[in-house]
Amino acid sequence: MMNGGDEVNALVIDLGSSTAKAGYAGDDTPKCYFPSFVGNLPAQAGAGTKGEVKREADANGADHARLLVGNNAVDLARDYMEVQPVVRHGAHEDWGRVEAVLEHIFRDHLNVNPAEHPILMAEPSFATDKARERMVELLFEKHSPPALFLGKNAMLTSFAVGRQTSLVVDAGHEATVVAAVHDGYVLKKSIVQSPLGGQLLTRCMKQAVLRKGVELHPQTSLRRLETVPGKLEVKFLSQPHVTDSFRQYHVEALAADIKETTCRVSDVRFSSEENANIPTVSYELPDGNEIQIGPERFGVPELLFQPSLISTFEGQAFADATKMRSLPEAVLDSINQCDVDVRRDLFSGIVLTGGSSLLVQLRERLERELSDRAPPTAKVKVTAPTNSLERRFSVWIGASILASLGSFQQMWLSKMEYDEHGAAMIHKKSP
Amino acid sequence: MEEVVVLDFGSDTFKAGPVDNFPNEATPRIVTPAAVQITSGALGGTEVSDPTEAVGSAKEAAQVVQTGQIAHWEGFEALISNILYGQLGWERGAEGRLLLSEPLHFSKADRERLTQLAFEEFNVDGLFLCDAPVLALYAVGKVTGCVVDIGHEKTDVAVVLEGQVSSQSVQEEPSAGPQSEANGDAVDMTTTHTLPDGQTITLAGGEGRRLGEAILDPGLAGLPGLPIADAIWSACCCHLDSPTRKAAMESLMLCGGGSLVGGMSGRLLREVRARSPASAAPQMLPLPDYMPALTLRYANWMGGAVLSKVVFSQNQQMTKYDYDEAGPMAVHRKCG
Repeated sequence: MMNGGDEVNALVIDLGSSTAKAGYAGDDTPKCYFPSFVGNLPAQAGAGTKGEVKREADANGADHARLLVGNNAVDLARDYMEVQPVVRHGAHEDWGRVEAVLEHIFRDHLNVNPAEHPILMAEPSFATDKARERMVELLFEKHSPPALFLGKNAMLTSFAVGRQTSLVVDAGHEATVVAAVHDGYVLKKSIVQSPLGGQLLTRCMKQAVLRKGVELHPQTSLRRLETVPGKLEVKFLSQPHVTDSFRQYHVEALAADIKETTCRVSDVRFSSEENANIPTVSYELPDGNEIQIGPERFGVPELLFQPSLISTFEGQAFADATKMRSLPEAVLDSINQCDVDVRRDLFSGIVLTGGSSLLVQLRERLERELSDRAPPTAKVKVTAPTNSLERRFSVWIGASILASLGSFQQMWLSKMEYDEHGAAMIHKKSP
Repeated sequence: MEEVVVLDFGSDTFKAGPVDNFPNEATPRIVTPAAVQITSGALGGTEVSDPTEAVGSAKEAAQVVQTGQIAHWEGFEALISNILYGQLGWERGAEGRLLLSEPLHFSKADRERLTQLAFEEFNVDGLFLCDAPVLALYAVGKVTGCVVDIGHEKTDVAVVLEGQVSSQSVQEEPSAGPQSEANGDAVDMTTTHTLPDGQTITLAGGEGRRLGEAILDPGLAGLPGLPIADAIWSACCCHLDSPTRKAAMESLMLCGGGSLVGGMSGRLLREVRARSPASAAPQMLPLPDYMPALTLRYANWMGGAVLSKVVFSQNQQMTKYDYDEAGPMAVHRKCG
């Protein structure tokens, strides 16, 4: 089954904390891309709920809770449906949800039989041994692929940008993870996690908007009707049974959109009080209200560089304050935890990636701050893939490249090896 | 043989026709129902169903294509065989060339199987596959836009950028199409229709309109799916960057069987406008004057006809030589 080079039909899957990406090895973008959230419909939801389909009851006539996956699953307001994340803090919350996501990928999107394709799964650089073994077991037992490999995110990103040695700064949804990759292997002692991620920035933006007295009504809670030609009137839907998790998910999605379209990173240290009167940009909410975003444009991303500003956003705090570090501090800590001889290469090979890295001017600001704080002899260079798709999918793209290399084919963990040695074999094969 | 045939297979009808005379012969010559009947017994095989045959004969009907995927390969083969050799007059040994409109979510394995079928069974001279939304846009002369294809079983929304389908933006919603088949109008009056088997039915006042609404919002028909306007919004905006969002929103295109429903495109545009902020100005792509009137219905086929002029004249198709050299996998290399 191990073909060489071009004919490998491996599947590449990256279950991130914000979106799940999947596709074929060798492609340049994932075919399958949807939010990493499932809609959980409890078993006893009343009959005739809106958006509900006739359920198949099992042999005993009992209904089971159903997990709905995919773009449409979480966007449609179904009564009693809870929206739950698949990944939290880098670990899988509930293996049932992981299973539902994998089923959705294989059966609904890619239309493949996983027993016929080797699978390369991306995993966090800090994944624990136990979690890795669990994933290997889940895949081999349920789906029986002929071979499997678990690739660490930082290593895969390094591949995507074509470097053997680099310091990968992955500004993701839940956290920013900095890890050094040397000669294609992730240096475990260099991994630094900072709980500052896109999700926290989104929540701060939400707070900033609410502070203006504006209410955030997501699109799913209203309809705009043209009562008089040319004039749209907003009608709020009465949705008594829609769950809080659903509402919160969509309010956060709206805040994320505001953040993504209006925010920029300031060139120098930014203080909201000094810049209270800077020109604002306007954003139109789904209900037709226009809000003006002023200092928050720079104030929210500034958190990445001055995490102590979190106190200015009420109700937001770091889950673990001891891990709180600004982005440049995280980079420096990571490099200092490595051997002295690799530090120079790491300083000049910093790669910025991840969804949050799409913030305008982030790369320039990071480079400037690092140059100020690094030892004078070190040459600091921060690169980032220019294409926005490449930044979001760098882990997936790296995995796609890796899985299609001829020289990689001997590194897979085959089903036979799994049957013989058990899941612990994965640590030898995918260090 | 040099003749190029464009084929678009859907779950309700297969559309096929030669394109030599395009655009004089402006619509697919053959529009045939996508149903076969399987005969069991000593000479068991599949044959294309005969619409005039009495219902209830001892044959089992099979649906060849389901939601864009080929569900019954023998039936598919029988139908194509009937179309190419029976209706279009191809001769064994002197087959022409084929351009296929490929549904979204078509798996790699199925592509290879289709390629194998084309070269082994039908011995075509050349083959090309192209994604359906890309073809639909070619039919109106564009390479970028958001294509809404209201089909028999599903509605596909896909954003195409510069000729490439943007995979993050693909949405598929179940369509209430089959339930709205008997009529094509969302009108308020009482209308009478004659069904193929001779019965007449009378649609009361609002029924036509309700069926039209069900197409716009599958939830009304009890199907799990977003209202189409929401799906369009989600496809264009939630997964793309700002500059591309604008381009996609301003180039909406409605095609497929459902586009025939009277008032559909105007209504859909209004719904999308209501959904989007004032700064976005969703527009429908206009049909160019030189394209025939029924283009939107057969947009995939039309676009295929347009594309075939380019592909085959520039020899970009997959040839028998490629197939012999590299096998069915050459299709991924040659046809994107």
